[in-house]
Amino acid sequence: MKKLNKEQQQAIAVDEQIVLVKSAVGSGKTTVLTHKICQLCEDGVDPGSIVVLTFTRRAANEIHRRLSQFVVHSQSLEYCGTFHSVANRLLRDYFDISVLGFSRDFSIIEDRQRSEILEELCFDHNIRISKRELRNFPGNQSSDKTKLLQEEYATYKKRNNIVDFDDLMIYLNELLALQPAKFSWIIVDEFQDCDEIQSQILNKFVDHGAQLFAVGDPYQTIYHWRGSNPVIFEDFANLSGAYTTELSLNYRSSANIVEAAKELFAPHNKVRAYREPGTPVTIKKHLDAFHEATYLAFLIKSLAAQEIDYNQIAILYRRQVQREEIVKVFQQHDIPFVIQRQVQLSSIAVLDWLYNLFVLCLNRKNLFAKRMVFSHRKYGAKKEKRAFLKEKIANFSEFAQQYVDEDDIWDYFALHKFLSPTSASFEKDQQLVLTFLREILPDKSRDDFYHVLRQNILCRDYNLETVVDKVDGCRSDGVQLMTLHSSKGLEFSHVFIVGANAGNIPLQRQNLEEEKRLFYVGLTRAKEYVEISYTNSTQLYGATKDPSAFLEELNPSCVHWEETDDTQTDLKELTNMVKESRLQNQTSQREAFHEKYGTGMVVAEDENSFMVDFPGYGEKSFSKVFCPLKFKETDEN
Amino acid sequence: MKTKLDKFKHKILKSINCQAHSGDYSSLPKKLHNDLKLFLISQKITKLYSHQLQMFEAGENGEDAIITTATASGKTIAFLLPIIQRILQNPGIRILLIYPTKALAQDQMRNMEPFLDYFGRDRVEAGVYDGDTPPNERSRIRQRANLILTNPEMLHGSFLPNHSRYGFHHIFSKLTFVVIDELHVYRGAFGSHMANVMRRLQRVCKYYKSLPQFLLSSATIANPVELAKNICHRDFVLIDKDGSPRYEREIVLWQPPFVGDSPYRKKPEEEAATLIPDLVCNGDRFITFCQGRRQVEVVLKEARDKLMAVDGKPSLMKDLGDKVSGYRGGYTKNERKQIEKKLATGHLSGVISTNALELGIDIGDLEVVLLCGFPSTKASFWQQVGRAGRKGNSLAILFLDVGSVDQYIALNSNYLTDAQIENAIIDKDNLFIQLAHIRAAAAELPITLEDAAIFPDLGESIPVLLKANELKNEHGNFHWQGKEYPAGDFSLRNASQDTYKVIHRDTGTMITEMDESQAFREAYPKAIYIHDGLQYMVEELDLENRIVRVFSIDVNYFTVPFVETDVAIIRDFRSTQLPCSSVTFGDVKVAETVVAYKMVQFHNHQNLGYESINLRLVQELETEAIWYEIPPQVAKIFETHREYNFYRGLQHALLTAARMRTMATIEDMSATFFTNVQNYGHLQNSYILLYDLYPSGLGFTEKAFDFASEILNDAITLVQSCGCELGCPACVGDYFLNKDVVCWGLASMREEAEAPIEVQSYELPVAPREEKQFVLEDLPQKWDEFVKGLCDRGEKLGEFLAHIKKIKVQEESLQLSIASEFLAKWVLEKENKKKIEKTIRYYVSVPQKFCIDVVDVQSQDRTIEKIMRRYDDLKNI
Repeated sequence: MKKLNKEQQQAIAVDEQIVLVKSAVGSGKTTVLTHKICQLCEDGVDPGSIVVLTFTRRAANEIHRRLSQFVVHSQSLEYCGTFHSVANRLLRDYFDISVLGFSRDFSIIEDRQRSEILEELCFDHNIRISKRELRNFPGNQSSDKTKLLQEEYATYKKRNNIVDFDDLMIYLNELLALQPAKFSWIIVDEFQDCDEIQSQILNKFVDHGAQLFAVGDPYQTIYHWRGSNPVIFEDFANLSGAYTTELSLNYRSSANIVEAAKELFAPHNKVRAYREPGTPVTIKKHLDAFHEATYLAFLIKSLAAQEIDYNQIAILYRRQVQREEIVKVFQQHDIPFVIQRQVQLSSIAVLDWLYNLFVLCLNRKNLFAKRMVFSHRKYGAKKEKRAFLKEKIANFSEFAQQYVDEDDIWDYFALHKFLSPTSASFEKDQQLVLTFLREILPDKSRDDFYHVLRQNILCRDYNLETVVDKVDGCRSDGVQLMTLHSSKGLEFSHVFIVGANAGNIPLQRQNLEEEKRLFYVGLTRAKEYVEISYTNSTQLYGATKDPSAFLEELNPSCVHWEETDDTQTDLKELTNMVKESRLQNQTSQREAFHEKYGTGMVVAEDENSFMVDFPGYGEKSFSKVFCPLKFKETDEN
Repeated sequence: MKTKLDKFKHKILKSINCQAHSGDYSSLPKKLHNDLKLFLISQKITKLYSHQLQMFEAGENGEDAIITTATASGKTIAFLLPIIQRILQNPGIRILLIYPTKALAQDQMRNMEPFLDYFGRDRVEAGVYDGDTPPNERSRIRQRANLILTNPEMLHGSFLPNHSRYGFHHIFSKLTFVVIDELHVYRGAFGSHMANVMRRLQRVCKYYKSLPQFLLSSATIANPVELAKNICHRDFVLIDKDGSPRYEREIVLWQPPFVGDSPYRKKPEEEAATLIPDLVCNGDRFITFCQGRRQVEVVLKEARDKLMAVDGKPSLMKDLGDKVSGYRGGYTKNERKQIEKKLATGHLSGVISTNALELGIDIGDLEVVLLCGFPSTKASFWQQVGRAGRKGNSLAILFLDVGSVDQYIALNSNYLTDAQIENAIIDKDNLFIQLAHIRAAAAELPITLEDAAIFPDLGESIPVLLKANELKNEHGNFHWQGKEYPAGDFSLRNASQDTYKVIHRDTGTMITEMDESQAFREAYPKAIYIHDGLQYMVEELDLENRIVRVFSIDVNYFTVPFVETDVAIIRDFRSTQLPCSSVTFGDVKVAETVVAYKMVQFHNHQNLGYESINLRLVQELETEAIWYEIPPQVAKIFETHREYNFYRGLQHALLTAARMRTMATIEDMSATFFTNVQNYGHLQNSYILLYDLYPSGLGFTEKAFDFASEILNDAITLVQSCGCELGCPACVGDYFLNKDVVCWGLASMREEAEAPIEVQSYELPVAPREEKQFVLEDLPQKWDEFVKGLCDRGEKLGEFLAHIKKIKVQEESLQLSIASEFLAKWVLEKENKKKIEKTIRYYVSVPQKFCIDVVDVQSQDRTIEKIMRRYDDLKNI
């Protein structure tokens, strides 16, 4: 067991009903959390009565990993995972969900399926509602229409025994109010990210007699836009039996990084650096995103030459679109990279279209799919192609009766015709389609395609990230590319934050404080080195050519801001400068002969004198007026 | 050709016959993609011309090729066969087709339509991407077009600087062919820029790991392969054997007759207008090329006037005036189709066009081409001639102008047919141009060590750019730190970036832009500036804001600047001996000051007087030059006749000859003479200097150095065989210079020559003039009218002559009555006498030995006596 510092030991030792650990960035939050669990198990608490809640699968896995290093069998921690996965398990195994009109074997639908269902309901019940409203459904304002839709949706779900992601939280909260729940400890990671309903859930656990151990950093609240409660620490601290303690010593980053970042929340942020000063935070200006990425490519190559692992380097950006330029450049420079992202089918146009084509093949009456397939802006089919595709869909069941591979499917639908072969996107689209098909078609299946389709595509039993990663050429040991948001909870040796232009960081029209916390999260991912860059010209919507205002807020004594003088040069002037230097070079090639010193080279010349370097005698200066030298011109020609 | 030229026989100097020859065909190659074969058959093409086959094979073999066959030899198909072949194999590839003008790109787009229609948009997509292309069309082309038609400016200003944005990266990474049409246009500064744009293009392609193949076309020039290599930095296969059948073509040189008894000839436009009615009546279809828009209007109007009066047509019938039409750039597709349709159906007999349309634009079948004046280069000449005779025998008539090149052709018609004469020159390593592109390139991709192989002066430029804070060293690569868009700092076609805007005083609209040297030479205050055939007078040249303010005017003269030139030799690189002279090539600094201007009457080039310029208009130019040494015995004699400035004659002849050799225009090369170079210490020598009109030089004079003795020979021939009697603007640049003397001066560089006797007894030749209102005999009667006219014209001596009340004509002299002995002596002082004689010669028709004299001085003696008495009185006081 790693040795804990005083603050950490104290946090673990407290035995109050509610223990809130405000842990500064890099202060060993996960360590404390896992130690707490171990401690509890050692103290004889039944692991089955401990609920461990995280916000990401990644964080949950990390906890499992660390626990497995201790004696504790992490498997016996039945309720350890993300809020949603734990809720899923509780709803199926622990509570009786039938009181809400569902059976235990309910299935969970993704957001996309949810919106499909909503669309269909609108269609069936003639509810006229805008796309936008539909996307934000149920939204804040409830009109008659949304109310009606909400009712229809609820009925639909019960009838089909399905729940969506939001429902998992809602039903858990409801059942906690209705049914007993005997848990000894609730352990919460990233406590600051809890939203209203999640804090209600925690409250109810406490009401049922559980003890709460919550770890989090209020300076890392970055999901306010998703409903997280910014004053959750205060809310819980005010409850009876609450005890708040702090972890303030940062072990992760070198002192310069900690001190530079801390200044963003001066004087409240109490984080202290443990490590040596290290390199200052560097701020750079580049011409544009391409040059920024190219610069990084060169730099990363030299870092790799210094034996820094690619995957210890992270490039963080505010918006997903910024990634494209980096990927393009890294591909040209053969730099391995991996992208941390979540992919929605709807964000990959060609696969979305293909998916709908399959849906249409299985159900020719599906109007949504029909509209999508035939009237798609890019891949839609007109005239002859329309007739061709219709025929293929009609004959599909015959084709699908046999075992097929991706090329068969490609040829059957003559997909190259629909992907416009002259277009710039053709090659990538083709790769996406073939990789996707390869992904869903089992290796040695003797199943007919019809079967595979039903099983794998409609049930969405595939991993889109694998598909796009393959197409992009991602390598798990590569440089890590991700948004500032997805960097939370991770650490790297080198961190580069790109596109730190005003209007991008902070992003226009976003909550300024939250944007600052987001930037803080990004900065504090680094162990050794942080470089922040902005660009002189930017294509990003709303961004300007000025550096982010946050850069000024960093502690200036820990920041190396590379000077960027604005240059005002004239082409003619420059040409003359080159000519002058050329002439100077020529004078420096001039040989001079002196009676006494012999032959030397003219090293400098001004209006009045020559400076000549004689071997053995060193530099001598001669007046031009009384010049004892004889010159030999060295003509290049 | 039905019109007979018999009745114009006296005007026809010479007729050159270009023999017909049959085509050299071969069957469709086996390798040809089957669909392409079917397409050709659908177009009724079952065999290829030999050069088309060669081009196809070059394309297939991955060779870079340049084709120089004649216009209308099926070049479009020659280009497209290898390209479409490759596209059919992989529709994802990209091809850039670069045309020097927007109009030409549009026109070529039309030629490609059969291909597009046949193969369909899934296989071949094309689009014109230029400044006029709307945004949605641009994005369509970037995303989907595999044939992208554009111009050098777009490539330089849009494609390359944005290579990583808007989908341009896809174009560069899939770039398979680069087609450059009309390569010969890329000469001089434009060509040097183009060579650097190609450097940048290849650099960006290398980054995207593509290696495009180059297919080029050029008009016939002496050095197509050299030019191609200079511009594209590759070795080229030359395809110059034309396999297309040629019909017989006759080229007629038409010398306009003198106007009356004057030594001036009629304008080419006038002559063309006389011929057009014959062509119309005989049903010959024709195109007329004029030098400017205004000339088009003149020919159109005069031809129509004449057509309306053609005999034998009942007056009630529609006249023939609408049988001719203008045809200029800027017509829409439909308008052009209309004109072509009318030509085809015979509703239209001919069109009259500006030179702007010469480049490869196809107007259909014509039989006759009329050229009003020789277009500045031979390449243009042949291109214009090539507009006719695509389907049968044809005729081209060149109406000669009075300019030196036109009149040279009159004497040396083989200049037109000898291919070895015109060299297209560029200097891709011109420091100024190179530096401009180095900066642009740095903003495209960081500069790495490999770039030193691309830009030869990179090593010298980087330290300067570092010092100027425009570059930054990052791990051994140089990253651009300067302004956002350095490619915008200069333009490819304008020599210098200090552009002056010419603004109309009354409307505030911008008429054009010009560089500083042009502004100083053409737009000094009170200059007559001619743009698009319209005249403007310069009201103000604002040096600070770089604005030239002008207003419209209609006068019968133009202005010529008087430039004082200072020459300093910086260093000489190479030198060669001529039998009696030497020629040196090196770096010079030429400082030109525009000090005055003269006003010259249109058409007859009569000098209407000088004015000095008060603004300080100095331009310094460091450039490359060659200088011919003038043999001392020649210089000695020239010096004793300083009033004539024979150096100018030598300079004119050598410059004309050098320009023809190097395809240089008036904007590329200039000349001056200088004496007494300090550096040389020894005896004072005189030189004729020819220099490139571009900072650091563009290679014109470097090339001229290689041809130094040929140029001298050409210059001698030019002067010797000129049709004039004593010397004219065509051969020696002026009517006032005796051409025998000039010729002797030139010949003396080649061999020892006897000085002509004229040199000793040389006298001012009479300035010929066309409209002299006065003759010497009548002058006493018309004296008042004469002097009033002088005063109105602002002649400096007008006031003085008006003061003289009485004159008399005595044989060949004019006697002025002057009432003062002193004044009389003063008048008779050599300089003054000459001035007065010169002024009178301008306006009065006088005999050869005309002179003035002074009479009747007695009465004035009395006045003097009176003054003397008063003076004595004063002394006595």
